[in-house]
Amino acid sequence: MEQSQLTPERTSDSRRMTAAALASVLVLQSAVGMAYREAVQFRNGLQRDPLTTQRRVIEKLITMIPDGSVLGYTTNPEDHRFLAGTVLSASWDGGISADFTPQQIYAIDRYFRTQYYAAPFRLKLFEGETDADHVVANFRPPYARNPPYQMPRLRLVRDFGDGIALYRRRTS
Amino acid sequence: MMDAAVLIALPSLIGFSLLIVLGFRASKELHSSLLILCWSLAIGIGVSSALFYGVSRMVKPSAGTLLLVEAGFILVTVAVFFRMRKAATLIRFMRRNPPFPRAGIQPWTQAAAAALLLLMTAYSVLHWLQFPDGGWDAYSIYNLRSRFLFHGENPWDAVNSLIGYHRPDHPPMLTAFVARNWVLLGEEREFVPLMTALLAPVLTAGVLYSGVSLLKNGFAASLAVILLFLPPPMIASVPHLLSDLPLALYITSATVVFALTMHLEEGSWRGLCLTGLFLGLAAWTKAEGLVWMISLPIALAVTGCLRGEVWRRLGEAGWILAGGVGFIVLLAWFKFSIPYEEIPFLIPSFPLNGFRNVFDGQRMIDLMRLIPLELIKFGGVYGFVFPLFFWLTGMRRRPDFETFLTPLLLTLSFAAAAYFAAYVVTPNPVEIHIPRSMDRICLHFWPTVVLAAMTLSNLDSNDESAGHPTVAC
Repeated sequence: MEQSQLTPERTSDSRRMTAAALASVLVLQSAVGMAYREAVQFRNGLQRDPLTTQRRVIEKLITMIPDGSVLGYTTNPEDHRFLAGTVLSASWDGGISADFTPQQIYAIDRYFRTQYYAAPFRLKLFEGETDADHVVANFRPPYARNPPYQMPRLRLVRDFGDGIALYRRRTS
Repeated sequence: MMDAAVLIALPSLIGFSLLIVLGFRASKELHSSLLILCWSLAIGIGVSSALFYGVSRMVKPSAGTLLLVEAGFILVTVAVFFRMRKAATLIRFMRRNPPFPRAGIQPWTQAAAAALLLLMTAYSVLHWLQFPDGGWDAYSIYNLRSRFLFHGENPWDAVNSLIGYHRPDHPPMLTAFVARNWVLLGEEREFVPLMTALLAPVLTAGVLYSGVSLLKNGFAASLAVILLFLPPPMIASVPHLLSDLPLALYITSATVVFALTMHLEEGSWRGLCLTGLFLGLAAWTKAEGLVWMISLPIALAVTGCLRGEVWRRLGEAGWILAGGVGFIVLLAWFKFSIPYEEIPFLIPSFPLNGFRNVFDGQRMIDLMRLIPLELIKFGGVYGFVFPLFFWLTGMRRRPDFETFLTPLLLTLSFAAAAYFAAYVVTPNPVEIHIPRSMDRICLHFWPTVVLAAMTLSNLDSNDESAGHPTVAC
């Protein structure tokens, strides 16, 4: 049986051993480096996701809401306005634009994460009279420590801490 | 114990029963048993997610209902097996090559491959402990939908009512499998998405190891696993809990069974059906799976045209399509059951006016500029090791590999062309879209690239029998 050669000569064993050793050592070194860096970050607590602590809070919050499928959402006013123009805008392509500020990206992340923790309630950005009775707020500073008692058309029901608060729509 | 039974044992039984019915058996060789084990679990994950989907479309799934359905599936396949066992032609993939002559180095490379799997697990667990929700797509799409399925009263109505950015139209394999485990375990266990994400690369490594071992030898197989983890995203993307790694598992399983079938079983219809089944599972996992489902049969047809054996290759392509048709029908059921008009702001993946982008010269230039850069980034600091490795080992095309190698290389080319076309027509700006997605897309290709490269490598025995099917172990 004829063999078509991509390299003309038979490869010597020493070259193949070199290839095996090179690949093994460098790939292992890269993987050890990744695992080590992660271990250091874990030990120092440098990178811990700050939003995950909200999970238990929001899961507790939704137990206080009567059965329903839609839950309103609000946040700091400027973030609320930004979300209304992106996440709830048909023109947004779902991508994070290079023009977005870190604060705006944080606002989008808080919205998606709140939706994740609040499932099976479906979040809807609170826009006024026609929305759900109950509204969850996920604030960043300065509102995170001290949620306002009243927001436009909303009244504070309970501050759960960690930036999370439950509001109820005002009827009058 | 219960967790392992639900996550691993039950899906493995489901997959194993299906493999048995298709006539696949392990030979006495270790890598043959490993291959059957990995395939069993891979198939079981996909099939159990499909069963969950079917049940959840009709009733709110409970642990009892699911157990009944899964046990029923296993019993039916066992009954079919007993009915067909006399007529069945069995497939036991057996290595025909002599082992690599310098056997002393093999334990070292095997130890390195095992160490890589351990390091990947350690990295993933440490990262997950800091970011338990995974990456953006995990908590805004896949696992969010799982939570709706687990907690919601009318599961799919609830999923369908999500706004479009949560992509209720994405194939539901991962979503359904995670929800299935939560239902069977009776509570939402946070480690389930991580375990699912970890299983995918481990099984991919197992399938690749067994496949290369059967095609070449154990030395080449352990090096294939090492090269599999050469690009850092192969490890770094595990804790992001995305569907790209399960998709890579199904594509790898399909290409490995295709190569083994064409090389060792002369294109047996059972092997080709199994190839199709894996490609169907890939489509059930992620939309890109359809690209592979179409590319491989087309590659076979083109190979047939080039070699004057059109009808034979078309027949083989037909068996592949037949193997995947079940999951394609299931996917069609899922897609057609979505009330698109009720989903607020669902962004079409491929808007009709996207084809105008073909005439956008600047977009084309940007794509040509950014894709090579991102490919280099995917390889990471040690990306140069891959070409250097094959320069050192040498490469040669073995004539007995031609039956699968040409269709495989054509499949890779067609799939790459289809992905490029998708980049052209999608509405996203390329400067954002390419850097965000290239890593994940490369994951789909990488294990198959390693498989193809290893079959070309000169890692056979140097004696005269190398490359000839001489010994049936």
